[in-house]
Amino acid sequence: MMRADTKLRVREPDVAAKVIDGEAVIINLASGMYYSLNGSGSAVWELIEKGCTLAEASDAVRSAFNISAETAERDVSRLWENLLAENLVVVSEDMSSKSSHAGSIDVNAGSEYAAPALTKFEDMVDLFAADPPLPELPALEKNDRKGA
Amino acid sequence: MSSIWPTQPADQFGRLRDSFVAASRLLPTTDEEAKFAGYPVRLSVAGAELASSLKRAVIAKERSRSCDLSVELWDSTAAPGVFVPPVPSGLRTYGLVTSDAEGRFIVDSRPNGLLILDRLENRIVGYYAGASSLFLDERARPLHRLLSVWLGDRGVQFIHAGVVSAGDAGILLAGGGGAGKSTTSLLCLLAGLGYLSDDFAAFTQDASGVTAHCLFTSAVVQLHHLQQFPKLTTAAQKPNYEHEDKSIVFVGELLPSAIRASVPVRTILLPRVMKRPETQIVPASSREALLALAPSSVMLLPGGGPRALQRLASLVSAVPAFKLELGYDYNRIPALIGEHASKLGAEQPVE
Repeated sequence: MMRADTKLRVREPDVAAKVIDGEAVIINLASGMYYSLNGSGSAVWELIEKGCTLAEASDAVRSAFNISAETAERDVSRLWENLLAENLVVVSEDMSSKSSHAGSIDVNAGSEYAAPALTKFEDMVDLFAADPPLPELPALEKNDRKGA
Repeated sequence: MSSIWPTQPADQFGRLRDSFVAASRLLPTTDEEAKFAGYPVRLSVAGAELASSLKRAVIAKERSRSCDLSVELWDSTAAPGVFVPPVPSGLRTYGLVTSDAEGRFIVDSRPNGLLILDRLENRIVGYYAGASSLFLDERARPLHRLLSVWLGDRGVQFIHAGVVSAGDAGILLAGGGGAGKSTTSLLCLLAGLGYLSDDFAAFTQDASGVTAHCLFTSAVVQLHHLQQFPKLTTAAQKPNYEHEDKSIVFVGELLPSAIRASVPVRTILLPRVMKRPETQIVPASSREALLALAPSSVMLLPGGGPRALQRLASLVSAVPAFKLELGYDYNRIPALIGEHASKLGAEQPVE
């Protein structure tokens, strides 16, 4: 059972993610697998990026979707465990408190709640194994030199 | 000259340059220019056969006074007395891309050669063990792994997508393996649409919109797909290795007037093979487009990662996406795509 004050952080630079149209696309550059997160799952992902604890994220989901605290805590915990199992996140050692605005979710009025769902895609794994990429490179100084 | 191979990429780069200079004194060396997304690149290749092979899939341009990137390569089998470093043990089939700690030198180690990019000096130097040693990707997309890094530094993002054009409207075809993007690209090419890519292209984005760029004037076709394209069969070049199950068609040689260097992107199509008679085009979300485009674009090339994903997200947010639900009516598909692009503001519909 995860502690309520547990924080997670994204496993950078191996994991890249983008939320678009309210849903997240996550790519694991270390394994060749990629994922999508549904609406509520993406909202929780953004809270993870902001440094919310499990309790804060559960409370934000409960409030945004008007569901019971028990359901929110169960569903958010389950997602956090899935994200850890997939090596997309690690437990954070940052124990600093969050800002008061970090733990809220914007939801369209009348949106129905669906439990956070992480969908995994493995179709790239074989290609990835044959030709693994180099991780993101650091930017160099401004470079106006010509190649001649 | 020393035969010791240094351990640091910076020193390895210098050693390779020494070898290139030595090889260029022994072998006929061609000095030509090509254009990649508008950037002039000088290709100096020592070894006539290697030079001839490498330049087939690039957009040539007239020589100018300066270039933005210099490439110096030699054919090691044609100059056996010139120092060549040992091939690292345990290399996978398509090699490995690594960098030094600062990220300045990018090393593309292959079973048949070695290339190093100096991101600061804008120079690539290296060798291949002859034209007959080149793998399919090296013939169809020369230098693509190092170019993806160098162009990426300049805001030009590689994408794993087909790109065709109807008039002045670029159509980006996105999807994983087997989705139908390569086949759709080739159908469009043979129907008279403009051609930029069947699998790897690049794009830039600014306030005026998204522009797709042709990097390589080639197509890579599965051998069993060639039956669908009789016109391409006679032009198809066999691979050098038995395990490679595709052929190369140098589109720039076969249909030079079809090549488009760059086009504004008006729409993203996500092909999907459906078991029904008629092809349909229906709206898709930006998220679906990103899911179709991002994984292979980010994971198949070096140096991408979060920056590449951010650029791709920006692309799909700016360009409307649609599902291209492919039916059995193959001959109708290019016209349907052309009509779709016309509705989105193309200058000239496909006839």
